[in-house]
Amino acid sequence: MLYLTCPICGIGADETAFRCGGEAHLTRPVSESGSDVSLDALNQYLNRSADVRGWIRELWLCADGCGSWFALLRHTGTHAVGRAYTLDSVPPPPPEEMP
Amino acid sequence: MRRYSFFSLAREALRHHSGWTPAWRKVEPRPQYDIIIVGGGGHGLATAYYLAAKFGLNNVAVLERTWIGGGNTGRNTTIIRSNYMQPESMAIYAMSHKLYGKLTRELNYNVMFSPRGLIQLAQTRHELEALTRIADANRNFGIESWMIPPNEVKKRVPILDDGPHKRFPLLGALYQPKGGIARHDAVAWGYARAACAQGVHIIENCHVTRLIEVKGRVCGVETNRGPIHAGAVAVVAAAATGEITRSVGVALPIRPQTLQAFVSEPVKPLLDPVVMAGTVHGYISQSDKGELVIGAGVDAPLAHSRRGSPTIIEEAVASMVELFPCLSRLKLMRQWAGTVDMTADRSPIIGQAGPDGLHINCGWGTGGFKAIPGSGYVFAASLALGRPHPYAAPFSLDRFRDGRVIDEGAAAAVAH
Repeated sequence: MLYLTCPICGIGADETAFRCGGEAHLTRPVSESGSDVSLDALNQYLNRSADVRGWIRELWLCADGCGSWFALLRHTGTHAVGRAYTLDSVPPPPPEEMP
Repeated sequence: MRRYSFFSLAREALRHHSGWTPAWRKVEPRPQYDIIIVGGGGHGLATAYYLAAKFGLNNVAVLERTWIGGGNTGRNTTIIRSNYMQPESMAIYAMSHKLYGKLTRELNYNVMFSPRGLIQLAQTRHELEALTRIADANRNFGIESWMIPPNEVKKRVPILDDGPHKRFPLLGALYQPKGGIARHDAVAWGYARAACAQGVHIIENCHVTRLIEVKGRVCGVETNRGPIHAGAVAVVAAAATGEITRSVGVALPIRPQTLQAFVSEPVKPLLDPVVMAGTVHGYISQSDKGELVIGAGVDAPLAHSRRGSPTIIEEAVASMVELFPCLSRLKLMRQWAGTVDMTADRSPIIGQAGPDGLHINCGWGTGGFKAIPGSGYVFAASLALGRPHPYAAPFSLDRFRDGRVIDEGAAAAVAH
């Protein structure tokens, strides 16, 4: 069970008060007309997976609190929680030491 | 290899069981094989067995990082059914179901397949409609599976509480009379023993660290026991597959997630069929030892931790008590969690990937156990004949790019 703190409203609670929204910082490929986007670029956007044993950046929704989305650094192998940060801030680097 | 039979048992009983030999040999890896299978779970072992037994390829090695039966094959809820919705899935799961029916005889190893019937409850109107659609698809395809009314559900599952006070009424169920369970360890051990008898090398504690690529062709693997070369490499490593294929630049659309299962203390027989309930989110069967084997949903965050969240335990227990109030005082005896390899359409990925010589069979997600024999057979056929088996072809990796997804999200026992 993860214990998370929302960086916006500051409420700390266990993960059931939040919803996991998948990988953060993905950008949909754009072009002048929608049909110009190559299949490979779209495939990369739709189907890529942060399948690593290590630190990933994830979207979380503060569902039972302020209702905003934020990003979180989390280690997929150990569930260690790094920093939670707002989506408009500069993403912090992953913690150097492996938990 | 000695056959297991009543007579061999009787003879050994008279000799104080001193003559049994290990079910499979421990061997040192050869420097070169025709085919290397990375991953000694059910799918990998079945692939090796069918390669040797049906397609005459014996120069095959199965490399397992830990021990046979130590991964998800030995830690699941053992449910076997084929009532899927899309024709592509029905073909492969029905084939698998059929192979399970004769597996004990084929492997000369009792896998304790028990086709005791499988009931998927409809507890909302939408669920009733969705399951009816699956029943129609199954009937059209020739799979024995149909809807049954509430009174028949009650007859088959007398302990089910469908009183008037229930939040979710019982509206009917999808029934597959030949669905059931099997002993998961025995499936792994049986395939390992039968493959070994055909000359396949089963090498445990052999950790593949990366693939070896020469001139655009995968021709071996680097392991903790040194490099091993092969004509072709088949990676059948579930959630670890992506980690291995990344070494040659192949990224897979697989999300590793944690799935848990639970076992209660053993009680006298009280539940005959397997019961699945999508609305309250849980499924249950009673093992031959009397334990209730319970499953629920997956943890949402990506994880390679094999550590489940207690929230899911609470959900599973709550759903079971909602269905069967008589279980409320049973204790859970064991809980375990494994990493499942989820794809977006909840269907597997079978076939060639990236450079020549690299083949994958993964993405079975939460429902791989039921598919072991069929998956092994079609993958072995594809490897041996050099072209995808017709049942495997629709599950190729490029379906994600081309949008040919095989959506089985609705056919899962519970929403994952």
